[in-house]
Amino acid sequence: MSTRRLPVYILADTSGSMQGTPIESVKAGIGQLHRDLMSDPQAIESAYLSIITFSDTAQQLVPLTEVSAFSPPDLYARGQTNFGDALRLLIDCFDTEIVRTTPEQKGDWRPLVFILSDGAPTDATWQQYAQTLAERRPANIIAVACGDQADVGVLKNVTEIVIQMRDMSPDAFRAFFKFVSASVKQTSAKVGSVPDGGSITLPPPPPGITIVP
Amino acid sequence: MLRRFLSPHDPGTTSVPAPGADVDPSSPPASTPPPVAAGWTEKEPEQPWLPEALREVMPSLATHAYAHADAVRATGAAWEATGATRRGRVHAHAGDFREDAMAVHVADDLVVAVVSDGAGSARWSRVGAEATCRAVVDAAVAAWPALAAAPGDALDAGLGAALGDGVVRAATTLREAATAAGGQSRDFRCTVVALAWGRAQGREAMVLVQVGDGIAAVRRTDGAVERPAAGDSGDFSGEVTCFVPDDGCEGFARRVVALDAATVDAVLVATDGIEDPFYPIARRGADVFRQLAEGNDATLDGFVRQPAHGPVVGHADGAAHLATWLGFEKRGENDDRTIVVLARRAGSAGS
Repeated sequence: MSTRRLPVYILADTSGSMQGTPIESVKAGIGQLHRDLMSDPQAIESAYLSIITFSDTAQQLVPLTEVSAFSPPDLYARGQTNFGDALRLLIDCFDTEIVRTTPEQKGDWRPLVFILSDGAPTDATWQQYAQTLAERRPANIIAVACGDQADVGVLKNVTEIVIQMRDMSPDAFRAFFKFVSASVKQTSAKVGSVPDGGSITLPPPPPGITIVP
Repeated sequence: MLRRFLSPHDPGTTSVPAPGADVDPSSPPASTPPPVAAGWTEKEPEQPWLPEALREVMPSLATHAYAHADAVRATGAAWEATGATRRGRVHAHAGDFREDAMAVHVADDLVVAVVSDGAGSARWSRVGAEATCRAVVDAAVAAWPALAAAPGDALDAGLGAALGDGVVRAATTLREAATAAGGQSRDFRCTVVALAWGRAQGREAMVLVQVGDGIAAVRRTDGAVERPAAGDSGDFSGEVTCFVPDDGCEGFARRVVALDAATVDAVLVATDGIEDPFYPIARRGADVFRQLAEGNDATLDGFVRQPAHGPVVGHADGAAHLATWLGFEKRGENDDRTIVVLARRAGSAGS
């Protein structure tokens, strides 16, 4: 590989509670994210997108794909919320898809992960994978609690950066995905690697979306 | 002012048929289509290089003549130094300033080359980089007369300590400036790679100090290229554990690498805008030194394009040639680029 990549993973809850407007908004938002990144030259040259969905099980619908070759997938909402399987699959993807710096090769930028969930996990395994992620810190993870039923506490177990989107209207999702694309564009700046709060610079969240302290 | 320039892969400059276009069945199968054109633009910054908040607390920088690109060349009895710096596409597209800086001092008995890269996430990092380069050169130049008069065995240690002192003074200055300006010291975050060579009383010394990423590479007289210090980088690109003026940068500033100067005939110090495209320098360094010494009319594997230019070393237009060399294109490599090349002059090797 001669190009250093900024890997971006979207983990989208596609459980039954996301049926209707929410899942259509997520689908539209991913399309919007793609269009936004296609208008940014650094993103065109560096950003790679992957879509992982989770309901009864987790699936990587789109493996890490360069922005110019990415095609937004269809999304369908049904089933439970197997969050543990999503985190397990994410960890697997880090192990198989991400290139780290070695004496022979410059690695990828630290991956960006956006997790969207509107509820609470229905599986019993999520805590062990959340712990693995918290210990290994293989990525900058931003979790989005969608709506009033989302379990913020669970998401806080995965990452310190949790934002709340109480309104699940199409406009709110649109604003959120604008935030995602702005975050991706900012991330290629030099950052510190120590966990002092300076490991990632995020743009301010849009109105209606708040950072959970 | 907005200017748009095309990459070589813009549709108008390639011969790949548009989707749906008729293709001659007798023509060979199409190869992989070129990457999508990125569409870079260039914009001018809308604020002054030295922010208003810093004008009173850092008056020595008020007259700094910033330019998006710069090149210098200086020659002493033993070494020729050529440096060049240029704003990267990312910053040009965003209308930001170059955040890299460089400083060079060349005298018959003392050469100092310093490069610094401001952290993109730090609002005053371009000022931090410039201030750090100046502080390191000033410290080495100020310390040199006493070092030159000292016993020869102390030359390495003394010169290394002088570079370290410069970094420490830069850190102190930046912290004080941050406080006075109502900011935080992290607002000035930058890396530094500093190399000094000195000759006195029949002895030569060459030392290196580094905080953060960036690179120093030496070419030995037998042609071997080495990287004398590992630099600071993490598992992923763009990650640094310690910047100037973070707490703890003093520790890095005191880790001096002493080189066997007698066997070195060329050195480069550069920010990661050079390190990353040519990584690993242990494998690519020979090509880099050759291009700089001889001039270049080819493009290395993995690069989109390297512009043709004349020799950098030993040429009156070497600075301009180095500036041209900085115009290489490699997909995804759009950071500021800064490099200083030191070439030993013929007949000056050893003590």
